[in-house]
Amino acid sequence: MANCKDPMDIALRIMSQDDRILKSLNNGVRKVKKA
Amino acid sequence: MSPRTKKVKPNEQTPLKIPECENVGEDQVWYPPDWFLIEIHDMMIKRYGGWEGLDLGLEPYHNIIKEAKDADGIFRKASILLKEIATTRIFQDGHHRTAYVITKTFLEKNDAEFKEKDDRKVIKFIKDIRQYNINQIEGWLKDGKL
Repeated sequence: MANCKDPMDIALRIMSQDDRILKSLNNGVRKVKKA
Repeated sequence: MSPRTKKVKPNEQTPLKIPECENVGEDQVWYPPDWFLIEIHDMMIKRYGGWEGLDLGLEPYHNIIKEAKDADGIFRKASILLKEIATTRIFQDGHHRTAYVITKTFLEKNDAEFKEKDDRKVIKFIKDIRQYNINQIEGWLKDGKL
């Protein structure tokens, strides 16, 4: 099941590859409003 | 005069240190630990903006991990992580982004992957995640279909 890849390396690559997705997910989902 | 250096004698009794696999064997499933969740969330907020800090805190996350551990199948476990991290108020902000990176990392670390490759479809699905149940999310992760 689990391989020996460094999970942080995987995550950093995902962030780099999926930058467009992550930018879009920052828009249009519910935001917390501070009083 | 050349600087003096100390010559190190070989010590053949010292075993070679091979990097451990995050203390997870090949027959086990890797689950994202607390520090990893927090680190990814903080990176999301710094990179894309939003409110910093915890809301409900890590206790709900521990319940999510327990639920994932109790589930059968890697895509079932991933669907629980994706839905619950995205919809539980662990942090002040950034749940969808954090849930996406955590779940995709979880799948790759456990030798699986998101099937859907179309960015627009991924964005729409994650934004609408509240309307899908765990069976639907599992199917989408596994086959890219609803």
